[in-house]
Amino acid sequence: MKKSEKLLDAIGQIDDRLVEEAAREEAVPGRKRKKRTVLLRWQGALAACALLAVCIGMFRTLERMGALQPFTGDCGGKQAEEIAMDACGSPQERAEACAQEETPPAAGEYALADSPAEPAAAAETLEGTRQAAAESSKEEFENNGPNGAGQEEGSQDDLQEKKGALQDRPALLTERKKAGGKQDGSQAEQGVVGQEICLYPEAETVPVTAAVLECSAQSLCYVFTNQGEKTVLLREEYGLERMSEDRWETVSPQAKESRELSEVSLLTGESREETIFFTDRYGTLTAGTYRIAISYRMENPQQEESGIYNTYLEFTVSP
Amino acid sequence: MEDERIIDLYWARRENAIVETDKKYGNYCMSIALHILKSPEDSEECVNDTWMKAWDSMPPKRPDFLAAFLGKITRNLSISRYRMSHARKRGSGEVELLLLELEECLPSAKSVEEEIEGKETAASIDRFLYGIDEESRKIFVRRYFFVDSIKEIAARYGISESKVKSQLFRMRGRLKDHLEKEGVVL
Repeated sequence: MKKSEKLLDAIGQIDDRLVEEAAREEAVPGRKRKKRTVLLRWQGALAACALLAVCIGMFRTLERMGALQPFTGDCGGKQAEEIAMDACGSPQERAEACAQEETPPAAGEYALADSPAEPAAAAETLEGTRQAAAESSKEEFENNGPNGAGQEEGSQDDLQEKKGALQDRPALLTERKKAGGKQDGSQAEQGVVGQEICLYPEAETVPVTAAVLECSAQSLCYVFTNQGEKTVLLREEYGLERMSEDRWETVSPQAKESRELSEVSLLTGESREETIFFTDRYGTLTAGTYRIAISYRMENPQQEESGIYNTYLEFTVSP
Repeated sequence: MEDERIIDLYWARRENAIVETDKKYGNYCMSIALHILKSPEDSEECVNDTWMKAWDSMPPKRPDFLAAFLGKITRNLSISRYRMSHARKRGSGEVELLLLELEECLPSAKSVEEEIEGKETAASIDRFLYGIDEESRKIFVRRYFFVDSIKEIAARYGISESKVKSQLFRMRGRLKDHLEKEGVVL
């Protein structure tokens, strides 16, 4: 018998435990390899989870970085669209934001909270931005618009330029121009040149009354009463005309209106006493018959903007 | 059925002990025989001889590990059959074949000295195997006891064939050193 055969026989007599140990694997063939396969599967799943976590982290980081950018008001831009989407939450509100936000908010103003988990706060912030933009637009209109308060002495060119600029304004502001265009012929004859306030027509049924309480060459004190059924918004603006050769001629202001113009709301039957100092804009008036054009509009919740009307109040300055 | 219950059946001399053994370890023993003999018919005969040998061995034996006990019988019977088969193929002549056949009739062809030497060698191999790591030990037993191929071992433990080969190579070298160190001369 060869040595190798002897060794083979000797191996056949090894301890039963060793055989059992190796044979135990026989009962579950490929157990260890299966274990490795399962481990590999888990490794794959863990790798996928880790990748997902990294992606989510990056997305969140980018999202926050995007949210912290100043809101430019450019609704066509992706960033503004995302911000509006997060803040408004509905397409209607987004459209509203697009329509109203022509003027950017103040520097450093952010339209969105740093977390999308605070939609209410974000919406509130955006609403504030909208209001600021609307007020800014309104102020711009009032300063440079047809009232003449912030207007230089009216030349025809300036008027045309302003009319052109009005066409570029939002619909809300353009409506005012249209209301002014509805004037009748008699209004147009009554010295409209350079005084757009006079472009406002008189209401067909006048719901307001104005009465002189006291007048002088420097000032006029009058009471304005709302006798209509709707709330009237009295505008703190006026135009001055003087009777000359049986017709009213516009008195050109010598200076710009320095005070901030606003509207005063008057409920049905409510009155308000106003005092106008002519010296601010016209200097001391010479003796004669004058009238002021008081502008107002009626509050109409159904429409965003009702037409602006004038009512006239005559007074006489004694020599 | 549990191994203890099967052994009890052998000890009770119940014939269904062989049925239960075949049911539980039939494939296992067949696999060992096939690895050595490569012939299903020879392997089946070898497995049947295993049941008979187990019947003869129990009692008086009561193995602690029935699988190992049956595996050893199958392996040794398969190797004996392999030797007979190859002696026939080698064309050593009818005389050698005759001697091999007659060997089965003798109580033991080995001398007492050879028997003791064989047991000492096996004990030395045990010590060697217990001295190496578990994976290497299993690979060694799978290769030289169960006669698994390199490919099967690699697939079984999920390692490359080259690694199995290199491990076996190193173990053979270490076993040689170990046997020499222990004064085992074959």
